[in-house]
Amino acid sequence: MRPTDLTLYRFPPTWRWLIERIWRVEHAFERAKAEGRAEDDTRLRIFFVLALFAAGFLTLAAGAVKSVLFSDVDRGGIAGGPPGERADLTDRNGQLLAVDLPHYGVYYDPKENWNPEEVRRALSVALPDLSPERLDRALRADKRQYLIGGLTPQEKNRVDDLGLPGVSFEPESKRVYLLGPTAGHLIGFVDRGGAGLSGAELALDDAIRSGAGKGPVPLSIDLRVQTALQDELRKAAVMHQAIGAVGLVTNVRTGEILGMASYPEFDPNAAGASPPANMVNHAAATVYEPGSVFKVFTLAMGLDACDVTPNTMFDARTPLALSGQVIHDYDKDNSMLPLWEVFTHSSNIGAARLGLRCGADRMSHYWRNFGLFDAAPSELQESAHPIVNKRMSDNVVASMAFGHAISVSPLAIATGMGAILNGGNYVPLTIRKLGPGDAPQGRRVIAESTSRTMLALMRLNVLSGTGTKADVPGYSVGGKTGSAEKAMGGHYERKKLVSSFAAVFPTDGAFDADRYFVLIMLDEPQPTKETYGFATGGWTAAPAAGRVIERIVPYLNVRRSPGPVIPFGPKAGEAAAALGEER
Amino acid sequence: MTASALTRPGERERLVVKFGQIDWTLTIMLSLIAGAGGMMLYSIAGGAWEPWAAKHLIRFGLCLVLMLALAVVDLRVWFAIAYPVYGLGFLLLLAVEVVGHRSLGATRWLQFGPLGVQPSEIMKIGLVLALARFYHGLPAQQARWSWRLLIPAAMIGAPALLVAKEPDLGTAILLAATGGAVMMLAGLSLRVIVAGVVGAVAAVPPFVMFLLKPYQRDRILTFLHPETDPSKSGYHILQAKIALGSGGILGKGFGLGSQSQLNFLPEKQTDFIFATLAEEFGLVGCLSMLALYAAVIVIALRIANVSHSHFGRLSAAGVTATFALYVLINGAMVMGLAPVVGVPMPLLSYGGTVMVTVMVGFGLVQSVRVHRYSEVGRGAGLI
Repeated sequence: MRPTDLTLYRFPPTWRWLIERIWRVEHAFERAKAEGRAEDDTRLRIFFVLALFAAGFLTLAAGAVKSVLFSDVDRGGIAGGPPGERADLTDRNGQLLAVDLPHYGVYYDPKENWNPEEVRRALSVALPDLSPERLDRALRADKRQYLIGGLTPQEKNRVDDLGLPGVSFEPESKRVYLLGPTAGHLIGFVDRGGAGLSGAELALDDAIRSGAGKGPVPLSIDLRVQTALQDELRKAAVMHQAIGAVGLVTNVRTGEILGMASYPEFDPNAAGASPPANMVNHAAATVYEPGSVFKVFTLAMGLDACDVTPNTMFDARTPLALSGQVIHDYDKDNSMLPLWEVFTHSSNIGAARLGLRCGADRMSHYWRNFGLFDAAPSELQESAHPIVNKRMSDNVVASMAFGHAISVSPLAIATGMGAILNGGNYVPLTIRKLGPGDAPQGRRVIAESTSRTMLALMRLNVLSGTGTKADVPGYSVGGKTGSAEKAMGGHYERKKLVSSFAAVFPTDGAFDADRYFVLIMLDEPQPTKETYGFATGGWTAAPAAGRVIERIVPYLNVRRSPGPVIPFGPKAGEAAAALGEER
Repeated sequence: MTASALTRPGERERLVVKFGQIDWTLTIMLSLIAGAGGMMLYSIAGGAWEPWAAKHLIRFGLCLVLMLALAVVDLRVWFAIAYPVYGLGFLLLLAVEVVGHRSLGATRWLQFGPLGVQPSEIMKIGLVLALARFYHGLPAQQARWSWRLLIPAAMIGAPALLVAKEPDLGTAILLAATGGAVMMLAGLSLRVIVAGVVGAVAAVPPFVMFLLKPYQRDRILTFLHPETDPSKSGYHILQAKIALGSGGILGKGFGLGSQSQLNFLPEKQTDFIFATLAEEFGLVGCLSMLALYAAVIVIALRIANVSHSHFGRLSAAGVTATFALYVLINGAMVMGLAPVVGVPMPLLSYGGTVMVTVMVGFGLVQSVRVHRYSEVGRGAGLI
């Protein structure tokens, strides 16, 4: 019954109004029931339905407000597609080498399509790389299927414009190596999931991942140096039909690798498409019996610890007969040689005698200090362990003195020689760009004076020894050749050489200034008419090293210089006098 | 024209007068919604009329003409064709079972030459008409609770089960809910309604576990925990939520929604177009669109309310209920408040069949308004 005004007065006005309404609705239902009139009842019920719908709409509105105001979505972040998963890689000057670019994967859902034939036709035209088998499988499947990935935004738009039902896209990021094969071995590549597989991508994987979105990771290489090195190495390798080749340019003061090349090349953008052998970074992952370039180590040891000077005489008159072998010289002068001439004539007999003079213990000590008994300490995980004969018999000591009976990676050679040429500090090589004060202190392995003498010997060898073809006028290039016969099936092959040249410039100047080391190695180079039938380091690798130096010198801020005063050699007196006059 | 003029015999039968009686506010509201749909489709296509926007608007234009034509069809004609339409729809549903065309993994279509017909759409109108006609001749006491109610229950249940078997759970729910709404409007006892709702809620878990197809069950389970399956069913929900959330209050601006433009959003042009709207026009656009839909529903229910005939009242309200359920189910789905069941947003989503159904329905609503003073005989018999 209708509530009396008296009872209603006990409630505030709003409540009163509400009670009145409810009562009226109840009453209307009762009345409609009593009169048996469906119409009135229905009218009321329409309002009831309207109220239900209103509640539904209010719920939707509340849902929308909640979605907007309490969304955990980072606006423009997730919604704009995933950011790159790996930081960009640049060279030391900020030139881009590797970037993550947004790409798209194509998916197909058969549940959303009623015309598979149309989709088959359109997709096989629009996506020529998509294998027909895969498309068939997707068209017959009963779930959403991945078709193909790596579409650029333009390609994706083209497919999207076809308006094919059931075809959809999802963003994925793809690593793009902007310069293709340039520095390909050093940069390396990643797998489909974006994990580093080789090179810097593997070596610096953590830094590259955690650095995503925080700016690029600069590598130590200088793209201008790298390009010149890679170009000249390729030319030399092709000209001499080498089966492989290695090029390295390092800063011996800081240990930074400015250029690293391996031949044959590969394009990390299509790593799967190149033969696996091409993906090997020979500069780090392959060990060679280096041959005569190793005399740099032998002489550095001798001058540092075995009481010899560049003028100490060595007997090269007769081949050196040991219990297991007889050591000959290529250059059959059969004379007494001063040590500097042992170096410039690359006398195996002289080097072997020096090695024996120092002895096995001292050689072990120095080789270990030069890093020749371990994998070169760099970030590169490819860095190969050397093959060393642990039993240091006289035979082994004599052989090692001229670079045989030991196999090391070019990276290890470059690290050890860096120590000899930078004033005597062993500095690990790095592929990361170092800041001005970041150069490591290093570990002293030879005296500074020994280092000075070695620079002079290297320079002398380019002036009047086996390395004349590497000279670049004005930049006092020094260097040492190597021509190692390859050991195959238990003996050395006379026609299969590893020809190399280890160069340094400038050979004068203070040790706290930058000094650069260049290593060129050619695996089985063939002689040409231009080399008069020679395939040795002096004829193949040395000219290539010279051309590399000629091209990179302008970028390295190296001053022209007359070269060091060399207090020994064929024209020791004249040279010193001439230099004095020039000044 | 004054109200008294309308009382002149024969005056209401004149076509011009009939057109004057059409609810133009409702017509404009519907056009606004369809126009917004065209705009969104233009944006989704990356600022192009093809492949969706132009077709959508042309289709709506044709449907609008159809609606206006149907608006002047006498309510008695609607009354007469009620059972035949329902019967035809039911037969076609049976035919789908036998010879239907498979599409999107479900058999929902019949192919007549170039014309694809979805019998479940015919059924949406047919069911409302048939129920309205049935109740038109039924005394209020019997509409409350009597054995005769088995007839409408069967009228609703049979097609709903057939559609659910196609399988098209969304439409089946829609049919059952619309039928239930008409039964309720017609005067079903409130006690029975409460009992029915409680029973339905109790039946949901066993239904989900034992009667649904695996993918349907997955969708519902995914709805409860979308994060567990971000690649498949959960993907729809997550991406729609992202679209909604990323729009903010004012949206990213027309044509700037990355979720939809970049194809993160699945079925962006159909079931999830509301998410696109939310992304580009934000909360403001969202609520405005909901208000537009609410206005349409209020107007249509008022039309139902003023009708003098029980048939007109029930059929208009029933059609409106269908429309409202479309909006509520789709909205809830997009906002992640309900599982993904594949119900489009009427007039906003791309898709011809639903648009035709909805506009034919509003033709009926308009007809109810135009003929609101007509009395419809309590005629028995089929025609």
